[in-house]
Amino acid sequence: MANATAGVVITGVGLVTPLGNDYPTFAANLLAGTSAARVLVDRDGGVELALPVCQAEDPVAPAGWDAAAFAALPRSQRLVLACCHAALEDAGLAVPPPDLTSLPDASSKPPHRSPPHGLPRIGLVLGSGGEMLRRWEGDWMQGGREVFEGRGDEQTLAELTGRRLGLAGPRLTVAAACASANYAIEVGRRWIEQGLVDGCLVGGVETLTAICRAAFYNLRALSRRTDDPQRASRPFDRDRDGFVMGEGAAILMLQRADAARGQRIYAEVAGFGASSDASHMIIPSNDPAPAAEAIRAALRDADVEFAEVDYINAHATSTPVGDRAEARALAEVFGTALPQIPVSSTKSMTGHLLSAAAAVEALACLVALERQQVPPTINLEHPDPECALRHVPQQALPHAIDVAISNSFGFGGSNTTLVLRKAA
Amino acid sequence: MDLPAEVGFAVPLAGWGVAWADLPEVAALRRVLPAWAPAQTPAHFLKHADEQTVVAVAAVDRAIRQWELPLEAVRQWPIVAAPQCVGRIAGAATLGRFARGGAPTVSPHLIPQHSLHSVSGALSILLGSRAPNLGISGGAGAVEEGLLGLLTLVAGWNVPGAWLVGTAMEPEPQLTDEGQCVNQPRAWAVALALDRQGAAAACGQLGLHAARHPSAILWSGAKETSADPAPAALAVAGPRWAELTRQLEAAQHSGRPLQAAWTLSAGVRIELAAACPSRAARAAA
Repeated sequence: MANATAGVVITGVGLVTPLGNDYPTFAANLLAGTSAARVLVDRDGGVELALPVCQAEDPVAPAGWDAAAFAALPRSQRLVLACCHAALEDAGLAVPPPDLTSLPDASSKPPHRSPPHGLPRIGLVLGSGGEMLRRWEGDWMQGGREVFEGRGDEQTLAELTGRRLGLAGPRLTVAAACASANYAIEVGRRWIEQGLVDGCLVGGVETLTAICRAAFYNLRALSRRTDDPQRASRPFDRDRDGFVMGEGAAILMLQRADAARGQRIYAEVAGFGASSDASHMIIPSNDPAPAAEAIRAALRDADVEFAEVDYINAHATSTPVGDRAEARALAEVFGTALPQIPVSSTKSMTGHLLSAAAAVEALACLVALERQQVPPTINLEHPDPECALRHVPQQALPHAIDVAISNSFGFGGSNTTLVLRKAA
Repeated sequence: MDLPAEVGFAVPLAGWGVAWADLPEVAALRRVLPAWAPAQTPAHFLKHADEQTVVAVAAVDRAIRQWELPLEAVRQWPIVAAPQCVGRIAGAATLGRFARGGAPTVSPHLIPQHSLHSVSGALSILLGSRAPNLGISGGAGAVEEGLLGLLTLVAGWNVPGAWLVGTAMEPEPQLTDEGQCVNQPRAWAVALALDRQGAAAACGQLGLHAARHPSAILWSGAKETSADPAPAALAVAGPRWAELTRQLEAAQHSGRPLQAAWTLSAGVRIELAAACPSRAARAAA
């Protein structure tokens, strides 16, 4: 096993999720098997569309910030700013209140020659896939015409956030659809290893919009179980009928282990693997080999043997095609070891947060590692016989967990796996 | 822990391809799949693709053909695509329809085909590549973000090579409420083929240098670009894929090497050197 002290570790977390906007609340709801789903009804263009969704409560402005200016920001900006602030503060780093009424110019020096956060170079890598479409829709809903005018000067959410917080490191937006945030974590880990930054905020964000809901509905990817929304997200269950959309954001603060002296260490980011199906823009491949290769690559990267994996946080969104494809990939990788490894899908409680899903599921793994309990797959009443796994239905399972892996797969045939190791 | 004052690495450039097309030309390109697409690829694969995806495919095709890149090698490379404001035309058209007819009017292709991951995802399928694919940026900083993201992953992963495909519309489409263009936008793409293992002859390199010491922090996004021997005059304020496409095309035709460098935040500097025209261009000359 690799020496954890030489690695990259998580020293802070910030979250706005359907299960709570702080880590203790999220952990308690996750282990209690709480569903965040409820029915949301859109009435646009004279057409009613009712869907079960998992929404997050609006974040409050951090203490000392201009609450009115914060409230006036687009929701996606509020989510990311609140999460970045919380993650920095959780890592013990100072966060001076930003000026939210104007946007610092990219070429202007931050007001502090001495870095404001106590670390000279903090980067930001954000998983955010449909950012421009959602931004244009939000602007249009407010009467704006940004999408029609085509100025082409649209800054990304990561860039806007980095400037507002005075982060001196690089900013990057990455997208692999529902695997986006795993890539964000990987890029941040590499930046630290390569010496490009001293710390890095990584994670993902997803805000639900009416058009986004309609697009997935028309794809026939969503559960239509509006009569019983809290039982709608049922990964691996025989009676599943699609996924439940979720929204929120989660940000992790990464630092070198040997630079995180005296700080709380949630876990080591031990490995990452990725592959592509090369099959279809939407539908997962029937061939388990590409997804299996992503899992194997992550384990190799982490120097972890199959038998050392104590928990698998599955991508399992609650679609028959996707759940079965993942079960086949797990069987191909773990073989006879698979029946010993607990597998759960926390999307049964949070819904599917798309671009933010991998970040929220990394949080779920941190909870599992810290509390030594496997979060359950709720609503798993009749396991699909084609998903023969060691399920953790309905209730959390006390279990010794040193190594957890989190699968996240996405449109465009992206497969990713993250390996997290318990802090020494 | 002692760290060197500067870190850096460079990756050989095996070739590049550029492409641009106005909207009628994009419509024509949709109907033509590259010769290297897998045989089972449906003929309508690009029917719903974003305009930037369509020119991205053309740029990769040109890179493969001009530089005679070995298909068996380039199919194993990760694909990083850095589009800028992808999905504007589809997004505008969707808003207009949605206002009138609500949810049923929204195309199921909107998110799969017009999001940040869409360009790299489509290229991955067409190339038959099982290596990772991902989208980067999507905003005004797509050039710097794309180059930085690519180099970060190539340096961190044990991969034989990689594709970076940058795309943009310039001018950006000006659209009516119904999503109809009232100007003449053009889609641009540049494909850079990075080959770490020398499967193809190098024609340049892409490098990254980073100052580690806090005193070396630079706060600006300054850019210097030149086509040796006479520095090129640049018309736009920030680096754009369209501008780089034009520069590479000019270098190809003139036979003059192209050098470009971007200094990002935190002392990160990216350098691109494209040293010679392609074998195909030399043969034509």
